[in-house]
Amino acid sequence: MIELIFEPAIGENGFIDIPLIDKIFYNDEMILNKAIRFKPDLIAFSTITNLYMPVKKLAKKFKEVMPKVPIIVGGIHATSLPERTIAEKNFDMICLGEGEHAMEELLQRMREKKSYNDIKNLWVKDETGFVHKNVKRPVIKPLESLPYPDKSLFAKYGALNSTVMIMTTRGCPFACTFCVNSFRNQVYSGEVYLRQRSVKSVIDDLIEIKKTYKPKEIRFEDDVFAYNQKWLNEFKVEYSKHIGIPFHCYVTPSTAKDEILEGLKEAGCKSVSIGIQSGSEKIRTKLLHRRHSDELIIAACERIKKHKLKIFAEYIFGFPEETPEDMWKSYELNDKIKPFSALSFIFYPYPKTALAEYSLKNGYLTKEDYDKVKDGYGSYHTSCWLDLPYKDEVYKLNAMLPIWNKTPKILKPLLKSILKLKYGPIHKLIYLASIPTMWFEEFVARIKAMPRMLMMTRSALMNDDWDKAYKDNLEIEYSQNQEILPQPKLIIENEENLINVESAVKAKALEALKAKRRKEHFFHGEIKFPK
Amino acid sequence: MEKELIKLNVIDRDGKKTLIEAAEGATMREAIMDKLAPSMFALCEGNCICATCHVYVAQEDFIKLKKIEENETETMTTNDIDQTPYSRLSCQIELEKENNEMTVTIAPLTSL
Repeated sequence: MIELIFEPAIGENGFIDIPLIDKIFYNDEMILNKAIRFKPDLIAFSTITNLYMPVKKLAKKFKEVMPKVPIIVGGIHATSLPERTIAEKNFDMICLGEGEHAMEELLQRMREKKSYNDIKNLWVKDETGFVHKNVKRPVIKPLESLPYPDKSLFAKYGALNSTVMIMTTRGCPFACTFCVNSFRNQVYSGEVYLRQRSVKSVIDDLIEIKKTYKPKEIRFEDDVFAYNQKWLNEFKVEYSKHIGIPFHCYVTPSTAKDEILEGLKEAGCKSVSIGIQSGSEKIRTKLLHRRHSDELIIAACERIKKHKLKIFAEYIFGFPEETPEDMWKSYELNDKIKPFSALSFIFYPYPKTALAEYSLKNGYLTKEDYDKVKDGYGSYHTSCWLDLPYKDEVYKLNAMLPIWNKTPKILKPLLKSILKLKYGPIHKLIYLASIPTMWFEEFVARIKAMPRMLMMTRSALMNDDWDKAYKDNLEIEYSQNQEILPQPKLIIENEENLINVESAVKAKALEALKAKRRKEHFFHGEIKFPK
Repeated sequence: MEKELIKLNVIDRDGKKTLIEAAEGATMREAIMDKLAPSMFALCEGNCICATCHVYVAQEDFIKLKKIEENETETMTTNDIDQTPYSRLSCQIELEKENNEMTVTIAPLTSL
């Protein structure tokens, strides 16, 4: 049985953190009590770096009340920082890369009370504190071999409202330097990480979702959706025939070609997000590895509009080497594109990405701050980690772009004068006020869904809906679960020598094992980007 | 009719030359990925959008290739690659008899 007991997206890390809501609707005590009642055999977290901090805090609390229950953490954070993550005393295991098969094997071994120190994709800490670093598995192919994600776990917390999110791919074909995909593609060198589910798999999944949750909109959360024309040709027919719900997806200036946009429109697409990231061609080309000229971006957006799709343009401020002039170019380019909505973020140096390493190497990011990022501090909404001379501009321009996009030309001089002020409450207020304007219908839908979500979260945490008759009989005797390696037998007459020789043999075997692990393991220390 | 095997000389990013074989009709990307599986190569699996399967074709072999299409040119222009007059995306090259024993160099990756 699986139970979802923690949803970290709200609170603790710069988002919504309202003490009264915490107290009434969800709090650590409620989460821990639910976990105690559930009596888990294993606690598993998946996290990205900027949500790692609450995960770490909660893991500590779980360990205090359930010290014998092993805790595993996976996701891109553990994958990019395995040494640091496994060193955390409350984590017993980490999962690197894709977790499905590793978790399946782990649970099976636990059920059979067998050692699980050697499961591929896992790093396992044994009772001596030794970390068994196992090799990676190949990528999961085809994706249809996996069951559909069980959304009911989230539904009972009220997390599914009128919009349901789904993915048709894993990975991204591009290697933008600020994105974790560039790092992930490196890790899976020699394999193609990008995979796409078949149209049938996606449609069958959506038919179930439509029947069960009756969504009013579907969001395809793929990094790049419908890059494959042949796939799209089949998808548009099946989607409009069986699903017919308006959808949103992501395109890039490179993939926003007429034929693709036409296919998206025919399928039922209403809006697209497109990453512009910077209005400065220099920053895009030299620093982000996105060689899209301004003309190309403008032309791509013109095509999107021609197909009557709403544009959500996304920007990032606060890159290394970015000057206020570069940042202002984002405003200028945005004025040319005229998107339905402009969304802005602050550059967050995700660990091991090329741009984070570059920032560190070139003095834009201190080691201390990089360590804080690695511990999960900050967010791409609120924190500029780089040591930039124009930090104020980063915060101001990030805060005011959404409202700038919605402001009539005649009022823009007023906004310009606000931009000239020192960063302060006025800019923060404007940012907050701009949230409903980014997508009013969506904002209203979310506000409407909020009370229901809070009530359902409380209800899900307070009520036990699992089958209490179910008993796995799995008892974690952690000390008994460790692998006992056969020791070499030596016949030596002198007992003193025996001890020395035995320890020498052990040390040699350990060294050999370490060397073997080093050779086999897919992480070989620092990532070296090819020249 | 049985397909012929096409020989291809591939110079990898370390400058090492390897002779590989692929069935006629396969794309050059498939042949390289299958036999050499280079790092960060062909990330979009042959959909002509990422340009990571960029190769430099030897001058004398370049003229034997079919004419480059607009889609390929656009992808090369919009992605982060160092283009030369002999640049091609290997996902767009279908191997034919005329291409036997041609030489290509896998383009280096750009770094910060």
